[in-house]
Amino acid sequence: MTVIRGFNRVKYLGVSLLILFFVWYILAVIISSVILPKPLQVLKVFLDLFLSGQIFTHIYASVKRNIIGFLVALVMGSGTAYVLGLSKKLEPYITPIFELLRPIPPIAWIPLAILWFGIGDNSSYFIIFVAAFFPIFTNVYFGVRSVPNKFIRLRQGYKLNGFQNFVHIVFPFSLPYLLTGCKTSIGFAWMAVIAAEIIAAHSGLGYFIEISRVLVQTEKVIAVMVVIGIIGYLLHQIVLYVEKRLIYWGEYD
Amino acid sequence: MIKEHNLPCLEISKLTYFPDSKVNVLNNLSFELYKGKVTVILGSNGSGKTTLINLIAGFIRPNSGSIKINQNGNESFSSVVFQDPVLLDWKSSYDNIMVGLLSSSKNVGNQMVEKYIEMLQLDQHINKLPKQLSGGFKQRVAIARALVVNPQLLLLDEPFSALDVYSKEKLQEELYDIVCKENKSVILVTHDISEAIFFADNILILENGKIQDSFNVELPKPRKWTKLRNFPAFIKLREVLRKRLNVRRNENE
Repeated sequence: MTVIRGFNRVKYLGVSLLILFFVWYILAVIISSVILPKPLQVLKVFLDLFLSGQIFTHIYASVKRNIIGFLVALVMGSGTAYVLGLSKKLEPYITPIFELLRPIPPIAWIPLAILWFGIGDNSSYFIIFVAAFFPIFTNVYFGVRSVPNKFIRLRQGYKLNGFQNFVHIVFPFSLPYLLTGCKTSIGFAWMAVIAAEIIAAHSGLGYFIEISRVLVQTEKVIAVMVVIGIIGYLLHQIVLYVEKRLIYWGEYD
Repeated sequence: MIKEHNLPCLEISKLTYFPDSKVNVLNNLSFELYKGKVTVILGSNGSGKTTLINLIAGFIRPNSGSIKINQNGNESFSSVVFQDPVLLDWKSSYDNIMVGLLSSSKNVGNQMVEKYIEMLQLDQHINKLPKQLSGGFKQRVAIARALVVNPQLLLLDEPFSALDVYSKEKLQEELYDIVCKENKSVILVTHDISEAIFFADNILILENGKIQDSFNVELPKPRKWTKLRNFPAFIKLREVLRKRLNVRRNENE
């Protein structure tokens, strides 16, 4: 069954890529190759980027920023959500502030980030943090608030203190929500890091795309976009893997 | 000793509970429970049985009346077994049982856990997660968790209602043996007449938030379904209770 499923997946991927390249090729023939290069031109540049090693410093810069910003958001977002989710006194005062900040797109923070931190790593960390914070905060907060009444009765019945309640009931119960937040936020963070680097950095894949645009190297722009897509996919797969390992009681095994 | 036998371990006096001004769930309810006795609260759905358990367990507060507890030094006062076993999905059977002891001494706890694992025939299942257990074994784990805290009073809220007939009768016999051996005081709420007679020293009929009738049950101990089912006093009392509950229902209609 697994072999057949794997074969089908490869088959579907192959067919969809063929359709994509065919449509792309037709459009490239119709439109100027400066605006839209042909797939083979892009593939050649894509391979050159890796063979020359030129891309690796930019990949390292972007992934490093993404991971640092994401980890800070993970700690701050989940920490704030647990405090507010468990505190009936604080929640009514703080939650409206988050509700006001949440709809502001991370890109809208870029000018402020440049003013506060200048061009460079710190601006990028800040933008990634903003992008990754809210999906984690919202999911964990919802998870904490979703602890069923029967578990609250269990806590009361066995007189668990706040720490025991958190360690044995609230945290494990909310862990799937936390990981759902991580899946969303790692994607948001990756999109935000590229946007931030286009405007406010001197390295990274976003910066590399911007430089290639200025030099009208369209095939390089598209090749880097492909790299961004592949890395985004891999980051998502890493979180999925962690989720499957951590939520051993769920439907994953 | 004489004093202990004469003093009820639980005295409920004029207990009234209404969650809002329109509905009276429990109305002026009074009864006493003596050490080592099983009182069964028999009533149909919505009669206030679970509310009574929640009040005695301290999960909710009455609007008026009192629940007086005469507690022995070394025992915790009560623990509850719910209709739903309320197991933590992320913990093994053993760890779920240990939840009962999180707020007490570990040394005493381990001895108690081993004892009830053996008594409830959980030896082969201690490392399993709840999702790997049948309904009957989940309820055994919940019962073990309730017993390890050495409660003076065991509160049973329809704990057998989700089980198949074979698992139900087997578990009822085993739990009744434990209750008799350890001289536990028990309040069982149920709508199952046969189950009520099997467990009871005393049956209280709860209707419309009031105790409408009381029946003493004088059947031989230990009780086994194979013998009890054909016992004339059991059959007679079952008929009396059936008639009594049907009469009341017809009057209400």
